[in-house]
Amino acid sequence: MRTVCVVLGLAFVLPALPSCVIVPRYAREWVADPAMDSSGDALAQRSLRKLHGTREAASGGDGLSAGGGCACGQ
Amino acid sequence: MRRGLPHRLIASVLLAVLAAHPVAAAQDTVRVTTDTDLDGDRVDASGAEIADDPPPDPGWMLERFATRFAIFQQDSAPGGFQSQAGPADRHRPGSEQAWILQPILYARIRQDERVHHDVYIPVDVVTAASADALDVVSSASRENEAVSLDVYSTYESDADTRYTLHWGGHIEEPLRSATLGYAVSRDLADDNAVFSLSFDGIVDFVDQVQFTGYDPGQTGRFTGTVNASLSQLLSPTTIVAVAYGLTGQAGLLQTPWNSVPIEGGDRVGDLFPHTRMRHAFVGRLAQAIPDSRTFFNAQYRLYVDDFGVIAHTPEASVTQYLGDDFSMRLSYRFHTQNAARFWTSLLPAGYDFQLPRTSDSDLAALSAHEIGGVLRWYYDHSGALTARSSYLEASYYHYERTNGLYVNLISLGWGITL
Repeated sequence: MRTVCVVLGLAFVLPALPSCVIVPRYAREWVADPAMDSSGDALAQRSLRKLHGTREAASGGDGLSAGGGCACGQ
Repeated sequence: MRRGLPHRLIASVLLAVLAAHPVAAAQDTVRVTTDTDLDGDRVDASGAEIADDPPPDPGWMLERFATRFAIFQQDSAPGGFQSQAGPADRHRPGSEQAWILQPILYARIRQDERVHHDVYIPVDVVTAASADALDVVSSASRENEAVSLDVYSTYESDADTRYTLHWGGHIEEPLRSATLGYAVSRDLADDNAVFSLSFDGIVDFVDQVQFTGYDPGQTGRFTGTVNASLSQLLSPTTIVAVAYGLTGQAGLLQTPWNSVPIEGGDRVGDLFPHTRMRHAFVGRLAQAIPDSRTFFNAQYRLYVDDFGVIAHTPEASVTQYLGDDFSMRLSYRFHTQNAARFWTSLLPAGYDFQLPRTSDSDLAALSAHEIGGVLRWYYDHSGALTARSSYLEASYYHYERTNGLYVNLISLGWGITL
């Protein structure tokens, strides 16, 4: 549990350190591109999530539940 | 007559002026109320600014629509110990061969200026579902159809804050399921950062069909999840994000028709602990290279649960625009996990059957590699660098585990913006 707390703390504190960098709105053309989203589009993400979630013992961390809702899931 | 003419002329002019005066006054009023100041803002007669008229409410409308059809072809060599579909020797792994057809529909429906609904309807048709071994004792799972409804109703309370209600259900042969969740998302630091927090609860009602074919009736399972994420712009071309997900489960957690070989030739059904706590930590980096219109994504996930499973999952992808109308995405994913502490391929004689056990290949120690490619054609004239372009796409993924199971996934997709 201690390890979990340390990892959780680092995960949310470290990205906040450079947050003083403000990118103005007119300079966000590239970060707004859909290709900046690693998961591709939502429908592909669902297919791949099903592929992995039903064939591996690990899932979660993607904003959805790790398990439940499908009999073939782990 | 000639002397009276000037008088009548003067009188007519006076009458005309008097008659025209109210019209002119009214015209003056209209002109003043619709006048604009030097900044272009509408002002009234006193020069005070007039608020713009609210735009007419268009009512409910369909904003986006997308569909995707995927085919999964799965097989394995030598197979899974949990499966009875295979060689006559019940100690040997059984077949995990299956075909899965998966059409899915998506629509974004706008209710008004502040409320929209994202609706997903995925369908699964599993043919030759021998992976679950039920075909050995029953034909009930030879074709198994499942359908879900997943809706995210989002209310934008202001330019920076969004509240989402997540609700839906799932129906398939051995299962009924309902989902209810709530999420809040807040833009910070002039929209340079986004923080999201969500809660979801899922209730499942499962048939306890045993590996022998006996069905003792339905039982329940509850899954609760808390997710938190933070994304941050580091530069005009760089995004970093972190996320944490905690999932707790209680109830019947094993797949009831899976079984474990016992020394001596018999089998016994899977048995899991009644609760499970699962932690997932995710870190992600996205980098754009404007000169070549190339985008890199890298992600790592650490997973820990109280079944004793620890997993590491790094993945990376690169997206390249090819002219204004095409993009190509290549990806690689690696996954490694140790076995659940109660996993075994063969129970010893005299095993205490009150203790947890499984031989499910999904819970074994394994590594998995996945490669994928997506080619997308943006066929409208908005150009490829818009999130809302209409497109056609084709993709292929190959997934392969070190314990022999592999999956080929082919899909076709189509999306339009109305």
